[in-house]
Amino acid sequence: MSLLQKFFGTSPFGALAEHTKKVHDCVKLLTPLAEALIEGDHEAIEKLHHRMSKTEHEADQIKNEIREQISKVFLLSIGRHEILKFLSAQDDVADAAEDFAVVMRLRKTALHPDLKADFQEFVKQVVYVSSHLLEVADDLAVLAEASFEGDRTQHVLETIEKISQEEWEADKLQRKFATHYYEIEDQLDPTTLVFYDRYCQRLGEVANCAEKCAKLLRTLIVGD
Amino acid sequence: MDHSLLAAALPGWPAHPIVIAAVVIGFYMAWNIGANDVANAMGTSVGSKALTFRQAVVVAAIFEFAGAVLVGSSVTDTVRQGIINPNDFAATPDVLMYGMLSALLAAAIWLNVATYFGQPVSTTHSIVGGVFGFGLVAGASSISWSTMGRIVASWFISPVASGLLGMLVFWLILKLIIRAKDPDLNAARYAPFFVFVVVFVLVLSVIYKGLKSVEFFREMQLGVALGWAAGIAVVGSIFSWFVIARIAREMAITEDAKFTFTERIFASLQILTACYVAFAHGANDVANAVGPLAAVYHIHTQGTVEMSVGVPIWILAFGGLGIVAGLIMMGWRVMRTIGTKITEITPSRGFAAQFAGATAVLVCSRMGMPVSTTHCLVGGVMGVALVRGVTAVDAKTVSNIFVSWIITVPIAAVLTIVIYGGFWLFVIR
Repeated sequence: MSLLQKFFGTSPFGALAEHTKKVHDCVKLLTPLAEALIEGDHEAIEKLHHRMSKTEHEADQIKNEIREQISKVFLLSIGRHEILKFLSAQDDVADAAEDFAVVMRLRKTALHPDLKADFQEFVKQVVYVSSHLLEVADDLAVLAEASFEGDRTQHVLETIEKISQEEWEADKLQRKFATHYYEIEDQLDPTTLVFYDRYCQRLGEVANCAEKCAKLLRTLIVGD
Repeated sequence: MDHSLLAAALPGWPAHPIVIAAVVIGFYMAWNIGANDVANAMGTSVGSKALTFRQAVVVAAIFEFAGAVLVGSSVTDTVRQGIINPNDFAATPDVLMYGMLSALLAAAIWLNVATYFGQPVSTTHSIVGGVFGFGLVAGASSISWSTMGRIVASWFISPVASGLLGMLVFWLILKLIIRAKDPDLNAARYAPFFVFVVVFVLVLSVIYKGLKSVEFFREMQLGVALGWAAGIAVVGSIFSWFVIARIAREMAITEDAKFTFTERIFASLQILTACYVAFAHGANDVANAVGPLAAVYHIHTQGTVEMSVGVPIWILAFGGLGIVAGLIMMGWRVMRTIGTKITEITPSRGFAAQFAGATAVLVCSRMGMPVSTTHCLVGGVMGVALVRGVTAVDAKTVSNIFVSWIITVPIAAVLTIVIYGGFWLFVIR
């Protein structure tokens, strides 16, 4: 067999984008989960949680494959260490999303009708932050082809900047939602309030982790 | 075997068993070189579909043969009389003949064993190790240590130089084309310039003191040679301009297709660098097959170890034919499998790496330094990789290359000593 044939290792970008996609699939389930909470449909919550666990597990498998794969190659256009850090940050995104589902299943907490709009808006924004991440990860292979130079790379770096802004928006919506349920705290029993707080934190964590991923992607692309 | 029959069929043919053995093993070595290494030159072009594998075989055959015949003499001279000094064997020319045969045999055996175990072994290192081993057993004083030192130094310098050149070329491509606002337009603009450089270097290597046995080339002055090379290179770049225009007409260049178009241009440029690699490879590696043969043949026909005349052109052609035979019989198979597998290197990177590798090999060929084409190409790829051109290189393959690099010379040397010992026990004594 020719040396050249064995010379080039498999590029990790395809698998990396696949991992991002799986993680985003987890995050996307936040929308139906939120709807189920609003409807008070606990059976649906259980089903959705199972689906999320399954998707998260699949993401884990992809992660392990990538780890295995990059242990066999000299990575040259991007660092091995950076890839591993990015992978574990993405893992955190999926974990945070799953935590949200877990908290939902601990107690049958109903969402106060007044909170519905703020809650939906907040969840939508969190999913939106993560969807940008998917967009960037999908572009990685193309960027590598251009050695991370040129117009397209600039465009991707701008998208990354945008993720930070969107995350900031999510923060604002998180505060808005929290302010709202404290405003009506007299109508809520204390345990319910505690659970709203936990929902709020978990969802905020998803957006935070996604932003951290975006920053790691930036170092991956810029190269230092 | 009755050698007189062969001698009658081919008048003047020295039908001595040693010569016949050297011819057979030399041809076998050349065949191996053609069969195994051709994919290094043509693989990426077949992979990018710039050439069909049939076209690749034809083009490779032409350029390997041309390289061997036109520029192969310097390195062949080094192998036949540079590493060990033939004059030390003036009283015992037979010893030198058997020694060269042993080196050839040892290199052929080691190549086969290594290939069996999937190790990427350099034919160059094998043959140099073999001749060196014979020198050791024949008396270390016969070894030209300065030449040997220069050869080993060239094994370090040539991949590194190729790497630096690959870095520079790909950096230029990044700066001038890929990073530019309109990569497609810039690719079309600079491509004829790249063509000029490649053709210029190639032609110059042939006509300026290249073919020593042809008077027209031997007598050519540097200025005249430069003029010729530049003239032919200009013709080449004008031709390339038409090719690019045709590609542009065939493709509708939308915003999204800009990059595809750019890589298409490099894919056609890469046909040129593939020819360049084949040519440089023929020029350097033919010596591995016919260097010892040239020595054996000369001693046998002239009856003296004095090798002041140049390497006969027919010996180079013989080696070239062996390479061509190998690549036609085996190369197509290698190429067909490789074509579907190399997707990890795009034409722009392939162009930079091949240009760098081939230039390093060709310069070494002209200096009479036997170097490994594969190592130079790997150096070129690494250079491109250092400017973030290549994503992933298989770690195991890289370590394999290093291991083979280290062990080949000692093993070929020891094997030669063993084989020569056999000859000495059973034939010479």
